[in-house]
Amino acid sequence: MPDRVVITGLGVISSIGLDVQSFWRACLDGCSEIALIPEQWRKYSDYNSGIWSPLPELDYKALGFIRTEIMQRDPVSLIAMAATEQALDQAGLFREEANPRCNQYYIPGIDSNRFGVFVGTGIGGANSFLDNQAFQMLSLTKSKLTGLLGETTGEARELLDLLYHPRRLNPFVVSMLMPNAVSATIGIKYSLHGPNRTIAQACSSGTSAIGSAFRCIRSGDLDYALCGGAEYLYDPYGGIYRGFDIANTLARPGNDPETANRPFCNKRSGFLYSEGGAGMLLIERECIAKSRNAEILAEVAGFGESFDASSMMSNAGDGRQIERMIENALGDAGIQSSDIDYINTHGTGTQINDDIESRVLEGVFHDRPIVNSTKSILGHTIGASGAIEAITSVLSLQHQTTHICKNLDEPIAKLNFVKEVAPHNITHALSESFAFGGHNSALILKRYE
Amino acid sequence: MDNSEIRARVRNVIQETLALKDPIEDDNVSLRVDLGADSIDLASLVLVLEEELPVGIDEIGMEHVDTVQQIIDYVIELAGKGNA
Repeated sequence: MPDRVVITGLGVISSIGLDVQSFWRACLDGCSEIALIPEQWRKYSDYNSGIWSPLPELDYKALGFIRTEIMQRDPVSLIAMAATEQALDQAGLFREEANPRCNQYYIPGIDSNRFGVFVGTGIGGANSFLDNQAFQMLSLTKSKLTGLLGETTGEARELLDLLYHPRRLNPFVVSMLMPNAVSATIGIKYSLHGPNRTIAQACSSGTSAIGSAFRCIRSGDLDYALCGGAEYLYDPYGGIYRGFDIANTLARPGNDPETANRPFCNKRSGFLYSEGGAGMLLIERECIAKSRNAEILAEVAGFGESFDASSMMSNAGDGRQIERMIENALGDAGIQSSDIDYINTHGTGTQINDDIESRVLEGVFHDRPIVNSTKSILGHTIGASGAIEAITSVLSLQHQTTHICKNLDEPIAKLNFVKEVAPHNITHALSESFAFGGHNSALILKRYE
Repeated sequence: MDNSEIRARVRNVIQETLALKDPIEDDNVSLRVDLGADSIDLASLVLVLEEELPVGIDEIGMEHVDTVQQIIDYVIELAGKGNA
């Protein structure tokens, strides 16, 4: 009989909260963070959307990072570590200093060889790549142009200012931009020697990272895992944003940015682009959690995956692989579709996703389970989204309630969408994610009793 | 910024970057031999020095310095050239 796998720690960095408590409060209150995109980005292009969900200003030193760490890590790795710190604290796994020069720690009382790290990210340290590439491309050109033009004002000055680049090429840039830097950063920080994996499958990265960790613990290969997802989608020129915008995937604000993000609504127009975020979970064998008297928040009961093999940028129209993913997850958990009480959807707010996802859910579950989209409040954090939504599902199981599906005036399907925060009996939750490329993944999370 | 301030700042930067418990009092110590700095530490040192002092530092130039005094001299030389 395989060991049960339980969740004992959660951590969140998001635009609506920099810790689990404030994130959950914002979810229940339906409070989004929506703003116009940075003015700097508008100097390079016009955009169809023009809104996003920015992160609060992060004081990395206050979060415990030293200066050299901040200089050597992409923001995606820093926010992943910040969320990890929260998860470890909640799990009661305290750290001792190992090497103050690089702010490295170890966790006493655990077998570090049986402690894994599994982190999903869509674009890893693209911010560092773009920033340093700007230096490589522009620094000499700008310097020569400045020399040729001398002291300039007016339009020439404005054009020179457009050639923004950082002050230098960072000697750590390669180790900052590589996607595996996110999971490696965490493994190094806490001296963890178990499998250290990066799952890069766009919007389902976080979900698959948790699922992969779950399987390693259930099989008996590991005792503990830190798992989740992280993404940082800012760049100085707005090029990443423009990539999503030009593909017509982003919400169009019209006259009201506050209601532009409306998954599963007839009036939907795309997703709300988030600056980024991180969601990290500490999962472990049930017997270990019990032996150290850790508070068990919920259980990971099943994981299922499938691949569309259809289109790089769209779900397969028949939804068959999403159905198969759900069947796989239910089978893995040993339950029936009628056992699912709550579904945290992928729910982006794009025309195609919501149409196909809602049709599949209606077919498999009818209108029994309650349904919401965390993206309707938070926006889309790409590689972090699945992990943050798994955390939302855990919180919903713990508190026996969940947040509304925001801005849903005209539902496109007869699903049991959450319209108000109210008590619910939730034993099993399904949290599902789909990704550019065609990767589908789902977790079954269970109330711990 | 005068030379005594550069000296003080360089000492502080080295202490912070190498996580030394005690302030540097002897400028003749070797970063590599006495303070155990490796190439990663030296690259970090370049970044922190540039943040603290109005100079642009060439990594290749840093390869030829080893003691605290040599770094102080190098930074003073760069500051004198206006290499900011």
